[in-house]
Amino acid sequence: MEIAELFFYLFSAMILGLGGIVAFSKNLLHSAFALFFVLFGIAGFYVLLGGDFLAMVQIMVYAGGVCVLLIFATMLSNDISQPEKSNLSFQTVLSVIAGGGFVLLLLAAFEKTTWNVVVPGEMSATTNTIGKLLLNEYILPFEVISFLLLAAMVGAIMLVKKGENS
Amino acid sequence: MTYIQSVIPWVPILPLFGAIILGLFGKKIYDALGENVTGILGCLTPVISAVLAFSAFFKMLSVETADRIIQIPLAEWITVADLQIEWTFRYDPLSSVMIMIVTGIGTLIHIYAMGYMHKDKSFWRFFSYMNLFLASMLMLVLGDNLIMMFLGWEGVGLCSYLLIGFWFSEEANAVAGKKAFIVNRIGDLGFLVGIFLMIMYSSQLGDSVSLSFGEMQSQIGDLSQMTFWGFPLLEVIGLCFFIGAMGKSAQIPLYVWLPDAMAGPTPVSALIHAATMVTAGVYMMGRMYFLYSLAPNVLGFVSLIAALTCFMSATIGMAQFDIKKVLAYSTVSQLGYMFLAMSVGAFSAGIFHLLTHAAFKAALFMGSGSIIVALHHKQDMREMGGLWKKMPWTSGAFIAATFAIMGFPLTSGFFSKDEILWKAFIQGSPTLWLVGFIAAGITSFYMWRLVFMTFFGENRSDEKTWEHCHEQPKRTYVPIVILAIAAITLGFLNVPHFLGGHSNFTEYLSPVVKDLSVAPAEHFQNVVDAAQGKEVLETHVDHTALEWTLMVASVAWTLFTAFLAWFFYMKNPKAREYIMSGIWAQRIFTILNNKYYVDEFYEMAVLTPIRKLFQFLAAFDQMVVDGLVNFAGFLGRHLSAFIGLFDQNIVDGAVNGAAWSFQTGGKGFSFLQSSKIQTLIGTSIVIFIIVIVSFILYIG
Amino acid sequence: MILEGYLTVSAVLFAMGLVMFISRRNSVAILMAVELIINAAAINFVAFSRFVPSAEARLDGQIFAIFIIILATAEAVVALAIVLALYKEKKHIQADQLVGLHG
Repeated sequence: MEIAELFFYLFSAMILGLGGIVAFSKNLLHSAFALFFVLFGIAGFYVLLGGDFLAMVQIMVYAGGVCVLLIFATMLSNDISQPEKSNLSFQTVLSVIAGGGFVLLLLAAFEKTTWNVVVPGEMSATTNTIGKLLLNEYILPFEVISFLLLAAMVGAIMLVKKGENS
Repeated sequence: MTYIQSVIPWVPILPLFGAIILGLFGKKIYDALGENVTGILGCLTPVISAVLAFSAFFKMLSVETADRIIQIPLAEWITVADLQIEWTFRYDPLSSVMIMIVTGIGTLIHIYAMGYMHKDKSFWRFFSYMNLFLASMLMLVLGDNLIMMFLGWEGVGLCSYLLIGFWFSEEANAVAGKKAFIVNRIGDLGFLVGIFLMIMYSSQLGDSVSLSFGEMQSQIGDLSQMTFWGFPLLEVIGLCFFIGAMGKSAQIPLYVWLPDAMAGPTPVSALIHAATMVTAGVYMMGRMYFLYSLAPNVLGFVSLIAALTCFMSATIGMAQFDIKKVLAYSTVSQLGYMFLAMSVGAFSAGIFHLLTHAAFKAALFMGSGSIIVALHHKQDMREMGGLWKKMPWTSGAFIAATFAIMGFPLTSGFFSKDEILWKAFIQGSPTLWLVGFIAAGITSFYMWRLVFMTFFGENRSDEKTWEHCHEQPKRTYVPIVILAIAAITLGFLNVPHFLGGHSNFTEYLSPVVKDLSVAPAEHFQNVVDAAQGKEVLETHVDHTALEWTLMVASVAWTLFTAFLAWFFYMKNPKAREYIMSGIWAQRIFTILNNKYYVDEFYEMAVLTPIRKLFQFLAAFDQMVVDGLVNFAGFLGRHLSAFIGLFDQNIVDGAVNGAAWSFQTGGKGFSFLQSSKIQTLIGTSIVIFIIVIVSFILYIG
Repeated sequence: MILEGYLTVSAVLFAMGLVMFISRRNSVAILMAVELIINAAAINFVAFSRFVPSAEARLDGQIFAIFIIILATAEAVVALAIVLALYKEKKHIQADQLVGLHG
């Protein structure tokens, strides 16, 4: 087994195992911290897939920003003391059906579909390429995303402000 | 030809119209216009038919002998597969004679009946039935095929029933009517079987079967070769038709209805049971002579029956006291004579006797009717006597007819009866002649007994009746006189050769009725062996001496018995009483008086078992039917209970189930309306999966 | 590794996120589930960009994954602001009881 393969299995175990904790843990804080490490695992996947810049962005923005935010929200909303009631409700059944069905569907799709898989070539630094792409082919989405971020910021402040006033 | 063709169809149809009109409107006419008008209306159609019949006859006389068979087709009737029966009338010498008899005597009797049925409350109904009878009888004799004949056959049977039971409010009359009809019916069964056999076997010969006499006659040669169940076909058919004749013409064993039929009004007895209906069987045999000529065994049987009937009923007639009963048994006996003639192959002689008998018997019956009415409906001869003083015309006519029936020389009865006896001797056997001979003597005896008891001697009825007894009005006794004159004179139509005549009547009939002595040789070529028929006589052998001998013998014998009657009833009644006081005489008399207990025998042997069978069937029917009905009810009840249960559970269950399913389904689907985003997402994912899967499965 | 490996992992991750989304009651937990789902999709994009690249070996998938991350961030910010506002208002964030919009 190659190193790459080994790391792949490692990272997948990390993602899936910690993902399981995120999904099925009764304690919300446990879920939040597990999510943090899931995002790390995904970053590792990005590295294996040759997306080095992407992996960094994932760690810095997603794990470091979003997940921390989630942890803050968890702690601020004070519901962690309340355990999830584990009785088998309709929604649990529905979730299992939906999730299980979806997985099976996708797995079946993967088996049946043939992609024009190209043997991957050498990995190279992608930062340069991504920068160029962002400002050439994908300039429009880039600008729109900027606008969106601005709107999100303003909106979030507005929401919080409104809440404070009332 | 065309005159006859245009006239003859009206002869049976006019009385039919008369019957219908009187039947539908008779009551109204009677109430509105009175008895005389109704009577005239009733006599109108017979008179017209008689005029037409006689005129057609005179027309026919001007026609060549060979052309005298006229068929008048009117319409098609039954067309089914091989069977093609048509409404065709046949006018030939035989039917011309018959329709003249029927319409002539019928008219006279209708006129007579106007007086007889005076003040009867069903006056109009009587004439309606009488007209219907005339129509049926005319149909019988004018029909060109067996089916039309049978139509008339049935019709006269029906009218006989209706007229015998005319005064049906008396139960005895209704019973007599029923008896006549039922006994007739037994005969009709034989007739029908004969028709069926004829159809069955004729259809094997040609393309279509029309049962017309001409066609049957032409096929008779082929038919004589066929057999039915091992017997020659013609013998079987002949026997079947003769059974019909036995019923209709009152031969042994089916004669028992005729004496009881005297319960009807006397005009009915005169017309139906003397002159016309009872002669239908004789006519049938004359019509089908070609068949009977080739069925010698049947003819032998017929001769046996005829001789027996002739003799037996004559003996019964000797011991009856009711005037009409004597005449009834006399009719049966005379019919025996006619069949005797038929059975030895002397067909035209039989028809001739039919003619003469019609005349004198109708006269006798009408006369007796007048007497009965004059004596206020007394019929027992022991209460009569000396009537010639009070009713000269009636008595004169009656006695004239009596001369005819006994066969007094030069009367019609003389010629016809002698012809029969001669033919019986020469074409039958001397035994047959002997039976007829003896019966002739007995006939003479009982007729003169009747005359002496009724018209002569001292009156034996009570004073009041004797006071009121008077001669009937002209319209009553004139027809009797006319008929009596006919009875005397008609004989001259057929004077035989040995007496110097030309047998005109026989010759007249010869195109259609050939005597057996003539028939085989002339008619049936290369099929019939002459030896198969009756003994063929060489017609040129001279039997004059024998004929004279026999004639003188029978005249002497009948005069002798007439003398005996006079002796015992007029001259020396004490001698009669002396003889009758003997034990054996009394026993014999009782037997004769009780008609040999034949009716009682029938009652015991036939009717009682049938009644028991009916009872059994009724009981069976009741048990079975009741049982079935109850069982059906039982089944119904339990089945419906079961179904009710079933229905309740299933139907209710279905209804409830439907409601439950809707409820649950609704509840199940109500989550689609959830407020929770989670539920919405979840269900949409599931639906998405389902859609994709089905997409893949059905299209991918 | 092979493409299917990555895809399988992402599928399972997606499913776990879906299960968590539907079955949890806490709104923040639901938002965490959304994160999982989004990340699973992003893995798919990157995997495809590596194994089934478009012309000239461009890194479209990775670009898209970057966009995904940015959008997820924005979304998380706004959503959490709402959640906190709700928390201030209702003192709880149980999703099955936050049904004020239900007619």
